[in-house]
Amino acid sequence: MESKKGVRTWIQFICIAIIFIVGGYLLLANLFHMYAISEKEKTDVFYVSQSTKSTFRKLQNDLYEKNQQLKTIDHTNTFTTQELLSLKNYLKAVEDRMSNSQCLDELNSVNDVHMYKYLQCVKNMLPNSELMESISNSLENKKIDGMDLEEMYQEKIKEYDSYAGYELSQLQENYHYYKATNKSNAFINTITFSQQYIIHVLEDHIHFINFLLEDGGVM
Amino acid sequence: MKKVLYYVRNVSLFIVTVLFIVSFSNMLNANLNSTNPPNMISMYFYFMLNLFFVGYICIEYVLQLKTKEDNYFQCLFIFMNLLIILIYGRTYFDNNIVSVYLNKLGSLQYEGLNTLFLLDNMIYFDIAYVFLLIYALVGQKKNEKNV
Repeated sequence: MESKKGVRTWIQFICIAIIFIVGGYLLLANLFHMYAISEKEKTDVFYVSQSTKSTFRKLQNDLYEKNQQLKTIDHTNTFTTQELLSLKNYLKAVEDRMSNSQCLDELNSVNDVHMYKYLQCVKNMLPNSELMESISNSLENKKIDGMDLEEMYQEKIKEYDSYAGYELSQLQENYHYYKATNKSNAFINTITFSQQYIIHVLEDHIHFINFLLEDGGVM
Repeated sequence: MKKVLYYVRNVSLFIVTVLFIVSFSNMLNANLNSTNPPNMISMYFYFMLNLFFVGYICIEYVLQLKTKEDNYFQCLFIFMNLLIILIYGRTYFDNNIVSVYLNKLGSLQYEGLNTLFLLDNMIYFDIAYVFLLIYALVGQKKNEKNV
């Protein structure tokens, strides 16, 4: 009986110890985390370069004009009417998203939260992942002038979606920029990279439309 | 002193339960719209433990169990509840990190009471509550043997 009482006392002691260890860990981890992230918020205003803005606007206009030209054809050598229609709808969706974005405006503050909002906005300039997946599937085994369209689409356009998704998840988990020696520069580099990338995505969509127009005999 | 600890413990559990209900409902609501919902097992487990402790307090009052006057138990319970309240508070008010700020970012995947950060801490709440439960049951058994 005495030994059982002793065992129960030990169990209670272990329970108290574990509760204090867990509680202490939570307290210290949260305090440390708050300390680690509470660096002074720099209110850097990040200005988008005029050349980037003007390039982007020009490409937007080109995309609009190419889409208008695409409306005049019903089928091409490679795509049926139905397939071409879904591609047209997709390209129109891209045009609408690009024209509605405010992403290339200046960024008021370079910190975790504004960075996340900015990258999310840039990611939203691409159509949603399901639509891109369906387009990728429709381009399967399609070639124009020997070029594998599905492969091109995967490399040029879908890759940004996964890059942006990766960057966003890193920010969510506070890992990516946490160890950067100069966090502001790391943010600015990512912003610049994402702007260049979106310009390349625009250019690649315009090239794709040119392929379709050529394939349809318009160009 | 025993009564003070007893009432403080009950109030803290009440606050923690209310906070939990709010965050749980927000997270469930967010998960309905999410394409990649987080793993909520720790949350469901916490739900189960919370319900248990609410029931335990009722039984404790009705049957006048020994833990009602066990200062160590009250202190441990209050310590854990205050810590949980602190983490909820920090989760809600800390706008520095993205995973905390998500509930204000509109059309994002996760909405509600700062899902990711809270879920990370939930497993520790579960562990602490389980051992608190063991402590209460073992203490009950020990005191029954003394009578």
